[in-house]
Amino acid sequence: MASSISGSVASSYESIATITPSGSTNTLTFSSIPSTFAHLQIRYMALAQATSTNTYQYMQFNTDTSSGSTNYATHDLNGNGTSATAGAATSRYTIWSGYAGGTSSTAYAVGIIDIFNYTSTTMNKTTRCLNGYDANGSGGVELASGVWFNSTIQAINSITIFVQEGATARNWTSSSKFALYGIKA
Amino acid sequence: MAAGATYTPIASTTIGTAVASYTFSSISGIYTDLVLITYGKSTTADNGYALRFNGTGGSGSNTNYSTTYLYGDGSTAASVRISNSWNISMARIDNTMFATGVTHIMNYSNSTTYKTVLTRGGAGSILVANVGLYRSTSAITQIQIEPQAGGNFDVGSTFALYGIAAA
Repeated sequence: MASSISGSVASSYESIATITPSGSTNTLTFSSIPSTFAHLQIRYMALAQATSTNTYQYMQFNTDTSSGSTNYATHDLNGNGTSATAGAATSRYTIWSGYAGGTSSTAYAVGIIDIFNYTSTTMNKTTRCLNGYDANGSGGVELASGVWFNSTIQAINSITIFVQEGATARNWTSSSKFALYGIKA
Repeated sequence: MAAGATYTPIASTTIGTAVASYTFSSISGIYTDLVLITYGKSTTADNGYALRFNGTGGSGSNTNYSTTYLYGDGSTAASVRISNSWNISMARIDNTMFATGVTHIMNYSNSTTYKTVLTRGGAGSILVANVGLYRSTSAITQIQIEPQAGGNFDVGSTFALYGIAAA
């Protein structure tokens, strides 16, 4: 049984902006995010210029981007093809935001990050991320969550993402892509 | 910042007679990602959805696929990997109840990278998250879904394909 393709219907899911990092940057920022949506979603395809699969992305909001911040907490459930593990980090300066690839030049990590109720001025902001990287013999799949406990609860108008291999900053390849979408209620 | 509505329905079907596979063909390359929503039941127990692209794969004919699983059954969580396979394993499916799954086929139309797929799904007591790789740089224009352990998709199974376009 086969189907053919037809139809086009507008939806409450809108593309806001896309960032394609140059090959010489390890940080990107979605700024001036409109407050007209209920939730945000980031869909990414990423490959860092790294030497191992121990390469991940991290997320911060607004101007709370200092490495001394303790306003974020994050948890994950990870499967690496051999075992399943769970991790947590509290009072830290970032939210875990997924794999950023490994040493293959053609296998990219992918992920979907949801940021709920990002315009609220009364509740802390919670995120979730489904992401993974498979290079036919290495990689993993992960479910991650995060929360931003800033002292003055505020709407999110800026999202910063950076990439590290271990504790070392790495640049993305220029074919990486991060797309921000808004979802209306 | 540019803005535009997306998450567009491309095609969908509800199986009226049990079939061994279902194929979305002639998929346009105008989107950035594809999302496949599955609501299915197999005619055999303890099965799974499998995914192949562009007419490649099939038992014994192609080994360009791999999958890394994370799953939980209510008691334990575990992870396994299948390399050099002839399909990507997706969500769980069974013959006793309908199972759901959401599969994201990321950057399916580019012609420079391999294609990576994410799936979340569940059937009964089994919850699964998968990442899969199709080792081809060709744009994906055809998606074939089939029960991994053989048998058919049962009557009432529904498959829907959506396209998401980035600004």
